[in-house]
Formats: sequence, structure tokens, C-alpha cells
Amino acid sequence: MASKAEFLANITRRLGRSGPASVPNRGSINAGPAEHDMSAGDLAARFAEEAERVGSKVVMCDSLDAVHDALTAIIGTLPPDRVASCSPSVLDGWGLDRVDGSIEWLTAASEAFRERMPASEVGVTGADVAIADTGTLVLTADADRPRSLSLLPRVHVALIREEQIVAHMAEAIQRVRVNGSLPSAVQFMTGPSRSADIENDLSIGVHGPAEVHILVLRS
Amino acid sequence: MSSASNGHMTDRVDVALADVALGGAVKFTTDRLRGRKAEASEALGDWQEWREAGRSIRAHTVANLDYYVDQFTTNATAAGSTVHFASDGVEAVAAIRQIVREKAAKLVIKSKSMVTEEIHLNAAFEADGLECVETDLGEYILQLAKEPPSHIIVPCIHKRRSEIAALFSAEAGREIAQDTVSLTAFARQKLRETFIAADIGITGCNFALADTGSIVLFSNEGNGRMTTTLPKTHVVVMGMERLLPTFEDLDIFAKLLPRSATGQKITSYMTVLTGPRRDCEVDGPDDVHIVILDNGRSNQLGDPEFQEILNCIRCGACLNVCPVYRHVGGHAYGNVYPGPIGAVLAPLLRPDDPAAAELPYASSLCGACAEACPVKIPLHDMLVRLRARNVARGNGKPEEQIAFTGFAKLFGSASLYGPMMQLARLGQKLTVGNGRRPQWFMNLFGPAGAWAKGRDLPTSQGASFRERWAKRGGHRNGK
Repeated sequence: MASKAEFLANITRRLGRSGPASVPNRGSINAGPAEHDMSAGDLAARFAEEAERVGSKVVMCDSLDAVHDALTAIIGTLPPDRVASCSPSVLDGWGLDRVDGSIEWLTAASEAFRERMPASEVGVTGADVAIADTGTLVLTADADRPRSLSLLPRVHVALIREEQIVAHMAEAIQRVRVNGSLPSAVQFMTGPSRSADIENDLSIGVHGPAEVHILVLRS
Repeated sequence: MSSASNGHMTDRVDVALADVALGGAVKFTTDRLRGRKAEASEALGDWQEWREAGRSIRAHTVANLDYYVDQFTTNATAAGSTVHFASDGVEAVAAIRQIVREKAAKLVIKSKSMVTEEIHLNAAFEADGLECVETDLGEYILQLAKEPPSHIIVPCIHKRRSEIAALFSAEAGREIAQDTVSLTAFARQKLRETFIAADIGITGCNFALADTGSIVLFSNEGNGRMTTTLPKTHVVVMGMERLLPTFEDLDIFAKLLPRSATGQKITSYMTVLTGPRRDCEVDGPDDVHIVILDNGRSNQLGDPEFQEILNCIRCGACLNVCPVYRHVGGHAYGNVYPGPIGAVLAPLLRPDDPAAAELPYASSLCGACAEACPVKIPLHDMLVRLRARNVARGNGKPEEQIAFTGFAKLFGSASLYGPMMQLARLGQKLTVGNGRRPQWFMNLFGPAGAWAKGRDLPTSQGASFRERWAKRGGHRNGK
């Protein structure tokens, strides 16, 4: 096994330098062209268009009641005795306990979460940021927001507010950075899980969710 | 590792060319991928400028690799990951085996990773009797079929639906129908059980971010997320050149990589992982081990002819446009990385392997690969230099030596060139039959026979330009 010092010294030697590198000067890097300007358009509409292009279903909601109605409609398509998982902050923040009395909400705060979560039909999450350019949801992980909520259930429902939508990925990256260090996981998610490994034939929901619903609360 | 890597490339090519269905599948898939890439790069706009931006970031990173590997290691360690350094594949495998022992792991899952193919990790696990399951749908199919991948991005490009159904049926112990929905449903259910039971998840990494100590995975199926969410231990195998300086730099590669690989604007998932789960989190691995692999890469540093090969982001675009790859598919190369990138990488990473030395000849030098490359690696120039290097090592053929010495003499001298061309035309009249050359004559071609077998020269058309020019009185009558 090589030591770190040997490994790095070999690279330095090969690069023809006498000692360890100092902070590199990024002067040789070309910044790339400017992104398309989206400031004039309706970002939420653009987001919805791009998200639907890759197979997500987007519902624009003018009120919290409209969000609840849309969620009830999605839950209505699921098999009975269903369990939905969500994070405590989403349950409280979006008043989900007022939605469809027949559903059992399993939150990340509960003891049974780790065991029962994989069997739940639907995972409901928020998002940190959404990217209009690609129809992407950006979710970071923490105690309140487990990674598996948007991964294991067959249906993923994301609830976002219009002001969370940014034009491009560069802005999303800026918003995700917290004091320079990153959360343990940052997921950029665009549409449902897909594969074309069987004779190039598109199949949806290979390992991750087969359905992605995004409910946008307009401001 | 594979039966395909035995013997000579020419033998493997003959097998591949005889397989009509394979040829159709490879052509269909590569056509589709490159068509989509063209559409997606067109839609982005300013493709050449984005390429140049990508190239400049990669070149800068590689030129300062010692700094960025050091910075990455410091930040990954601060985030709670354990970093290991491996000079070659043997050391990398040893480090991973050690982790498996410490965790007393019984079941390991993997998400698609070319670098673990490079170090023959699955073979090592098999020798240890450790169960290791590939979770990418294509790789899972190949694992059941006991075959190596034939494309960097679409590993089972060569497998037909009927073969996949037969493999799944044997695994399930019941009949699985041939339609995509049934096949996918079986794999989802079967692999879901495996994900939950697994002790260790192993991935490669598409990029590593120096300023945050993060690793980045692009995937469409979500198996990369499963592999890094459910098992208690996550092992990352990382080629030492995978780095990007900052999280912000990822933006450009999130544009270049998916578009070049599959023609997608972005893959379904781009996952940025920094250290193990924090104490308060309910899922994610308790331990993250990152094995940084050299395995011949550092030999390219400081070499002005080949350093740029380390800019590669493993998108597979050069495979999809390569006329040779498109005819013979991936297995004919007998190498982990096929296509133009493989033909350059193999002899660079394994300079003493004669099987690798013949790969640079599997190219028509048309340059389509360099044009397709999202970070502008001059692959065709490298292929020529590798051929030159091979000859300089004394591996050239004596017939070639004679032929090219003669060629140089002939084309360097006007007094020799004229009469020789007349003689050649006479010879050609006797031998070129527009496809109707007798076999006894073909045999006389000797080493050029294989070349002549697939090609017909048109019969020459009377006098040459030089002769007709001379007849008109040459430059004296010229206007």
C-alpha cells in the first residue's frame, strides 16, 4: 500500500516540479459561454415544461388547499392500506395531516421509520432548490430529511414553492453550499428512474421511483 | 479476466464480424447515442465553447494534480471519509479485501464502475468466495451471463431480449416474459432484496471535488443512490485523475458528460456525497472508504504527447462515432476500455503488454473520436504516436520496414516515380479484376493479403496526369 506522501511525491516528480505544488492559478481556465438569459420568462412554467419532458408530472397550485387536493388525487391512485413517508418538517410545514384521513404518515422521526419505510408506497419531500433549465429537484440530506424518502417508494411527491426555482445549475450550487462545507448527500434528481439497457427500450422505475410528482405552490 | 481477452485481436474481430445480430445491435445503439448527442449539444448552443471550458478545467486539474489530490484528501478526511492510496490494481484490491475482512462482509453490491473492471475486482471476490452482485441493470445481465461489458455506458449493448429473458428465468426458477416491463420488474424486485441485505456498497466515481472532499456519481436507474444509501459501508474506487477543483466546476461537466454519453440534458440522478452519514441521520453509510488508484496513470504526467489522456471523463462518445468500434463492438478489443479511448489507454497503462500494443492499429485514423470528445483529447494523434512508439521498440514488421523504405525512395525521386508508375499500371492490369481476383494470386500478397481481401482497387484509367501533361508539352504550353 502506498503512503499518501509517496503517492503525492510521485505525482509531483512526474509533473517535473521540485517540491509540493502551491495554490494553482486558475488563469488558464476558460469560464465558458454565458447561459441563456431566463430573467424575462416565467421560471415556474419553464421548470414545469422541462420536468414534464423527462417524465415528471407537475401540478401548479395557487393555494395550500390546491396542494392538498393534488396530493389527495395522487394518493387516491395508490393501493389501499397505504403508508406514506415524509419528514416531520414537511408534515408540519405543509399541513399534511389535513390530507386524506385514510393514509398513515410515517415520519423520519418515528422509531419504526427504518424498518417500515422501504415498504411505503409514496415518499413526500420538499426540495432545497429546483432548476428550471433542466426540470431538476435538488434535495440535501439531514436528520429531518433521509436520503431514502425520495428513493425507495415507488412514488415520489415533491412539494416546492415557486421562489425555490432558479434558472440554472450554477445558482442551485450556490444555494446548496452552506459555509463552504456540504451536507452528507446532495441529490440532483431529474424525472423518474430510467434505463435503456434492454435492447435500447426505455423502462421506467428500475431501482428508484417510477412516478415523480412535483406540486408547485405559486407565490 | 474474460475469454475475449485471449488470443489476437484479428481472431476476435473475425468472430465479431461473423455475428450479424451483434453488428446490427451495435450499429443501432451507437447511431442512436450519437444522434441524440448531436441534438442535445445543438440544443445547448455554444457547444464548442463549453467543450473548450471543459478542456481547460481538466487540463488545469491534471497539471496541478498533486495539489488537488492533496486538497481532496484533506477535505474528504475532514468530512469523515477514510482515504487509501493504491499504486496499482493489486494494492487497490488488497485495500478493499482488508475492508471486507474488517466488516466481516458476506454480501457486496456494486453500481456500474469501469475502474473496478480495470482492477478485476469481481474476479478477486469470486476467488475469495464472497458474493458480489452488480446492480446496474446492464451489468446485472452481464454478471448472470458471465460476460464483460462491451460499451462504457451501455454495457450490454450486445445482448438480445431473448437471451436476457433466459438468464432471468434461470435465476428466478420460473419463466420470465420477454417484454421490457416484465424483465425490469423482475430485476427491480430481485435487486431490491439484495440492496437491503448488502453489507458493503462499491462504486466508482465520475468526479471527485477537491474543495469539498466529495465524490459525484451520475446514474439513471438509481442503483448508484441505492448502493450509497442502504449498506453500512461505502467503498469508492477512484482513478487519481477524476478530480475537479471545485463544486462550481461540476456545473460544466454536468452539461458535457450526460450529453456526450447518452444525449441527455442531464441524467436522472447526479449524486454529490461528502463523508458518511452524520450522527443524527437515519440512512446513509456509517463508513466511507475512498481508494485512489494510480495503476499507470502517473506515467502519463509530464509527457507532452500523452498527458491529455488524463482529461478523459469516460463518456463513451468516441466509441459511438468510431467506424472500427461500430463494426466490431467492444469485445473484439479484448480490453476493459474499448474503442478509441481504450486503444490509447491500454498501451499507456500497460506498456509491457503485447495484447495492448496491437490496439492502436484498430483505427482508421479518421479523427471522428477527437471531434466527438467533449474535452478535445486528440485521440487519433495519440494512436499514431503509439504506433510509432511500438515500432521504435522494435515491434515493427520487417516487411513494413522494407515497404515504407521503398515508398519513401520512390515518392522522393521523380526519375524513379515515373517509370515505376508505368510498371505498376501494367502490373495492375494483370491483377485487378474489379473484385474477380483469383485466390492463387491473392496468396501472393503475403502480409497485405488480409488488407486486399476486403478491398477492390478500380482498374486504372489509361495515362496519368503527368504523362498527359508531358504530352501537351508540359509547362511550356501552360497558361
